[in-house]
Amino acid sequence: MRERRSDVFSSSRPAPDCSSFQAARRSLEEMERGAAELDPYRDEPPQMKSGAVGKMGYLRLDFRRDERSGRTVLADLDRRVPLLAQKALYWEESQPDMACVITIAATGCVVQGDRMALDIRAGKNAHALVTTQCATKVHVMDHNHAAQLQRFRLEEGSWLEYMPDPLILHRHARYLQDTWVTLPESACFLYGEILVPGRRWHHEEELFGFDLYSAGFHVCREGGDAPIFEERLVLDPDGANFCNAAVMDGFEVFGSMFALLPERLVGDLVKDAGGDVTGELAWGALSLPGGAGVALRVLGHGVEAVRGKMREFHSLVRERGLGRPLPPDFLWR
Amino acid sequence: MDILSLVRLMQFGDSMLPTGAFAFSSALEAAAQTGVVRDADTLQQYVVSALRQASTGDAVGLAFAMRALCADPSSAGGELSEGTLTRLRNIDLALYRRKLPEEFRDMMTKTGRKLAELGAQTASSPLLSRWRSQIGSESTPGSYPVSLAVLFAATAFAGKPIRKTDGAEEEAMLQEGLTVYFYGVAMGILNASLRLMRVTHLDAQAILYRSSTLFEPLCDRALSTPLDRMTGYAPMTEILSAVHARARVRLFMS
Repeated sequence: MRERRSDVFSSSRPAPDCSSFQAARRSLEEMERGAAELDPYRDEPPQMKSGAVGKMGYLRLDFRRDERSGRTVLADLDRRVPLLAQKALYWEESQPDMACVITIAATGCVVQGDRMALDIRAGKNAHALVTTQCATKVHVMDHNHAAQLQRFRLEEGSWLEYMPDPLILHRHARYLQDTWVTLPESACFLYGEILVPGRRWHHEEELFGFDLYSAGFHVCREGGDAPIFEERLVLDPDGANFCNAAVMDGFEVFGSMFALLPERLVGDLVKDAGGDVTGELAWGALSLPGGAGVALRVLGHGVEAVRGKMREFHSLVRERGLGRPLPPDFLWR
Repeated sequence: MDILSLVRLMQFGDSMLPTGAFAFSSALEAAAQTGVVRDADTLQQYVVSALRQASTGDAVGLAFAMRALCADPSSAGGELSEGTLTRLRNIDLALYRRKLPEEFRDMMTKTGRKLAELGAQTASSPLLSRWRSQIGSESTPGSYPVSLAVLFAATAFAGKPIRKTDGAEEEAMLQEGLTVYFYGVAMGILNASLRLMRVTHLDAQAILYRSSTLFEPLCDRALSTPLDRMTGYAPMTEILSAVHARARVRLFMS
């Protein structure tokens, strides 16, 4: 411990490199090494080894603006099973130049020993939306854990939205995630995730029955030596009382959104997104340190209500940043 | 513990210490208004949650700031080194960029600056004036935990420089600093509660008595958390802070 003293005082790590499959694998390993909360869950599964072929998913998406057609294209892609992506579609009626891509996890769910890495880049002035096909289910675990590393890099004037479907933690799930975003002040990144603490009617020990959920979020500027905003949420039902009035106050579903955008938009966005606590829903918009943008926290009893509030915020950000609100949601979503 | 350090501990731990903390309620004002906190039971939950959040967040920064100061030549009567100052600034920034609600960032820097000012005037130590000039030149936010660590170090080193034989003195100083910090977190909310809701002074004392039994495990937790793994999870508190920031009439600044 003594000889490591000089490292001990470092308050943050450098942004991970996920630009290739091999680099992402190394970054994932490093992320797991640094996670002390994972220590009880490092035993190898008796089934396939953790991170083996087919258990280490990788997806790199590279969006660029195509000047001839005037719209954003998915210019490059690299992938390893079980992660894959569909071709870019242009379904956003209010943003016809926005490339929309659905990512797919071919195995259908996340099981013990799974590792995933995502590297999404938006080139200069590119506009893209990435979402998932369905909710991500993190299955029951009795050995090891699952981990995901997400890297987003944006260039000047770009607009990137990453809105996955809810993450459902089955009982005894252990899930580690880290998200790193690097963007200039002129770009906009919108990120939203919903955490469901189990399948409500499935089993008496299911709700809040997971073992660990640990998620980091780091926002960096290109060339900056330290992030401008950072957070790590660690939820372990053994250590925290979720019913506590100051924590979740009886709500079950937690939604969190980050809109990282130019500082001039922050004040009005916080004001208009607002905040309130009702019996059905509690939400609040907060300005991030370092002028990084706006965070929205939502608590609700069900996914629909939380998703509705987040969509409202999403639409507000679109209106402020791109001039047009979200088109009506698809009936089948 | 000698009498002088006990008195210092009582002075810095006292809720009468004019850091301006009495103007902040840590979003309890919004909690009381929305009915999230409505009686002694929910108030205790609120206090316990704030302590838990502190133990994996601000208290970790406080502990690392104290460790940095104990490793510095000034702990043995020498000059404060530039390297230590850089470490303190890094810890200070790390705490600041992890504070999500704006009102909480405000609270941590306002009370931190006040504490550094108060310390520099009452204790007149070179350590404190160096830290104060760092804050004054805007090269660091000046958060409360780091200022408290500097104040503790300044008074401890002035009285009796650390001899660093077995680390026992450092350990004792860390525990004292963390205890004062946790006491301040609990008392800040309880003081505000007396002005915000229907609880008696006796209720508040009973809650303090009960929640102070957590100080020891929380100290251990703060001491064992690495600086780059500071965590927290209290979405309702964050939401309440957002609600508070929008309120038309406010008694408190957070």
